[in-house]
Amino acid sequence: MSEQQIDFTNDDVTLDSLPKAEDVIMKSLSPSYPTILIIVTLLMTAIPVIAITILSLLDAPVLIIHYTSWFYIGAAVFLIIGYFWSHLDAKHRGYAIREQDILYKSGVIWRNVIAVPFNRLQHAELHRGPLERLFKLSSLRLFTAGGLKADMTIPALPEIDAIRIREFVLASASKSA
Amino acid sequence: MANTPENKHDVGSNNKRMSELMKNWKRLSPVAIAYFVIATLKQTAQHSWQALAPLAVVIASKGFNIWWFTLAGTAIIIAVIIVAVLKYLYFRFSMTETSFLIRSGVINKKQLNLAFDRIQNIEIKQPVYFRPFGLSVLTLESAGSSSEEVNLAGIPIGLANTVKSDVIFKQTQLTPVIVNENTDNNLSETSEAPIIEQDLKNLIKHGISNNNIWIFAGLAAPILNQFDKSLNWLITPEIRNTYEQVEALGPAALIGSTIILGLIILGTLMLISVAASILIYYNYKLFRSGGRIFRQNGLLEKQQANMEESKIQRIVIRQSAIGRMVGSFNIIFKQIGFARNAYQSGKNFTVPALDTSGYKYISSLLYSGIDWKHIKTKPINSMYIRRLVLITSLPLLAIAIFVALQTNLYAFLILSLLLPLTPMFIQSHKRYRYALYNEYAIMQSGFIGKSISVFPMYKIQNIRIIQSPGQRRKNLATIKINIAGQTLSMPYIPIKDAYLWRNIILAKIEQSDEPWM
Repeated sequence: MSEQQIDFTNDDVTLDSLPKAEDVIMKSLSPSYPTILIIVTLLMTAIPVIAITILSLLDAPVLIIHYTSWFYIGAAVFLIIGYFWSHLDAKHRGYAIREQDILYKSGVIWRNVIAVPFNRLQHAELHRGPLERLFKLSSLRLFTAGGLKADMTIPALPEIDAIRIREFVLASASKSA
Repeated sequence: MANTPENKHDVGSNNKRMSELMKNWKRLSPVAIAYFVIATLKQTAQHSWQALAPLAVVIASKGFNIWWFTLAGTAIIIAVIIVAVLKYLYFRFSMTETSFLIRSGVINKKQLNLAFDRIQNIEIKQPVYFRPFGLSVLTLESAGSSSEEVNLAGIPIGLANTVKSDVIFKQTQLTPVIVNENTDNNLSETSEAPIIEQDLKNLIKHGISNNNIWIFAGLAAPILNQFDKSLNWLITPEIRNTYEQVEALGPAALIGSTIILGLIILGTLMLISVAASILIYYNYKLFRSGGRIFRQNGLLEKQQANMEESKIQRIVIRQSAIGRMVGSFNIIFKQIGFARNAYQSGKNFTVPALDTSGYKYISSLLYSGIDWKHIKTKPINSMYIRRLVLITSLPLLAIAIFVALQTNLYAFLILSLLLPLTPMFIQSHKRYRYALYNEYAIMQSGFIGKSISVFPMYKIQNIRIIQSPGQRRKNLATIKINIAGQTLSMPYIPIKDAYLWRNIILAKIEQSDEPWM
């Protein structure tokens, strides 16, 4: 064990002086994030709605065209819920970058906060989907040796922020490694 | 990568061979076909023995025809050899300054690029049939994906050693790891006394308490199901007669004989398990020297393995339900990325049949500063039980209401299923315990048996705190701790403790300059 670690005993005084991750103020994602979520919801509903409309216009011999009105009502309800949910979802996401680690929270019902220390970072990548490109946004994906997929994905960061964060994160990672 | 003078010196002796290798795609030695034959047989056995079992039944029920059997056997052997030769022909490898390239696959071709700095485990094995040719199997495992595992079978032992030291050398430029050269061969020369030796009595204990018999029984069940269809040939007139005689004696005799039969089957399974335990772990010795752990065991096939202590991500102290009765524990040293083939490869380092003082001794030896006398583990909140009862009762209630509407109110008797379930939840709740002690985290879970994970906090990759609405109301949380591919979670602990764990763990990780892998 190195010298530094010996400082860290189970002393109450030391524990109180630990930096508190629960007190950090989370920065929220880009204000366009709900819009992106709403567009995704729209697309998700549009595809089956269009399909059903075409089927009923053609009077296709499928059972579902007898329930088209129910289907439209369902889609409308889904869209309304989706609209509010998108805002809620975006409101409950946020990230905080500290000197040594990065925190990311997500989840409306199950609140989830993950902390990734920079010196455990394997690699970081920027990802731009078509919708994100439209809004000039990027997602930042951080990988530790934890699993096969990204341990932390921060969606909808303004491109400049995303690049800056990635550079800071990678610089801190290589400094501490 | 910069070629420092030391680098040249180190690799110099084999520079010629290495540069030759780098130039072109190379094939393995033809002797490797033998390896592929064995590997193919192993794979077939692992993946399709359940499918082959009915075939055996067909053969048995049709009567055993020696000619037919020989013909089928020859056909299978020829097919396996053809597959092995094809695999051999299509397997090529090459090396660059920084990575391994492997092309393989007969139908689905694939090229694998394995970077040196991502290789986390190198192993050199010498099967009996490779020895006369001076060949070996070089196994490379990467830290990332489990599919990036490479077996180079049939390469000269000298080259394997060169590759090993070269890869280790290239890695040590990045991470300071103490490299202990040629540790694979000098096991018998280790002068130190073993830290653990297991005698027959302990191995029998291990055989009895090993969970493997249940796994075995689980595997046997589908085969027995296959037998079920053509079970008639099994019931001979003698058996039928005996059954009728017992039945005539009354229901008590029938139940009694069923229990006796069950006990006989269980006893047989246990005997098999004990025999397997002795076969595998006979003369078990565990050594420790130069930052490595060595193990030696086996009756017929002697196994020697070693592992770098710094590569151990966590140790798991495991006690099965039966192990609890005989007071027997296992310790498993968990490495990275071995979860997929832990049962197949035996690379998981297991110390069998320890008693309480044994596991305490080994864990405190490996993790200095662990003192079990002073570790006070805490229980989780009892809301865990209530939540589990709620989660299971809701679907049961829904089913009950649905059935009641169709039939009558007796359907609500389905809810009585909760009666046996609740004690199970209580038992599971009791097993969850957690503690931080000096540099270490201790997390226990289980049901009747238990499994205690102990690990230094700096090995942790990331930490997650999750709160459901109910947990938020009661100031509780679930923490999930990720240690190189393995996630451990502790449900329903006070949020205060969750925050404390996160703050301490982050501080430990961030202050540590110890390599986690």
